[in-house]
Amino acid sequence: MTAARRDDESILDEDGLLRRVPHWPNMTKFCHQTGTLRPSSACFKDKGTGDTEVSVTLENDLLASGKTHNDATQMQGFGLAKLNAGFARTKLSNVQIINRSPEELDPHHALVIGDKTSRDLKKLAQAAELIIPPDIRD
Amino acid sequence: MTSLALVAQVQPFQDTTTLKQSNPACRHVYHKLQEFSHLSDNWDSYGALAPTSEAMLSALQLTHTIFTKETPLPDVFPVPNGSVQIEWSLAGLEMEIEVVSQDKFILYFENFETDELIEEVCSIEFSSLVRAMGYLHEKALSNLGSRFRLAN
Repeated sequence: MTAARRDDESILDEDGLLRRVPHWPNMTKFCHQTGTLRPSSACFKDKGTGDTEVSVTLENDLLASGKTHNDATQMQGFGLAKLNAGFARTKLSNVQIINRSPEELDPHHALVIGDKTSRDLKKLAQAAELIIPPDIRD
Repeated sequence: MTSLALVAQVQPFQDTTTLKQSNPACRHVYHKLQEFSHLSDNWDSYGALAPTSEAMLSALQLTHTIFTKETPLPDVFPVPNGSVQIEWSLAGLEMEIEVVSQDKFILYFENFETDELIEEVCSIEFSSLVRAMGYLHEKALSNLGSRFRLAN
């Protein structure tokens, strides 16, 4: 499946990839390596593809459509983490490709496709910036 | 799975007295699992599965097998595939255990001071897991007094 897909070069390395972060249960933690609150690597795991595909929202497309970061959270209280496309493509143990994959609820939806190890998912979590912290209940 | 159902299933293994006597890290995991038992599918808005009862019970059993009084309080998270993740972030050390089932754990351990990295799918034989916990306890003790949370 992955081999048949090509990286979408219209998504630039400096473009932001947004990932929703639930507010319950609390999916954030203090990271001693970065000294910041960050999402757990569990936030970047996938329900059924063995972590081969991670859903994101393309920040540039979202903002260009007149929507805001708050719109991308979709759910009340959810936070939003941001990664750079270039980081996802080149800083993991396997090269990742990014494909647009529009969905009804998220027309700016895309997939970061490629095998990812536990260490890779940790790297994504550590590189992610919480641009909207989740409204933690507990 | 409801909170009560989780409690009922672990009763033979963990009655109230045992829970009170168990170490704080085990109690912390138990309380987080009780919280997760209220999750429904799609809790992350990306179609996540609610944690399975097998994963939650296995996580509880694992903590009682490998946690000691030196084990720092972990962070505990549900994983979108229905498993449960127990993790620690100490200065210079990261460790995660994803509990999938009674005989499948995914271990990630990285010591940034020694560059030791363990990424392994453990089954019934989990010597790597025990070794990683040893490092974690060592690191927790050496960091005693610093800002990480240590279970006493």
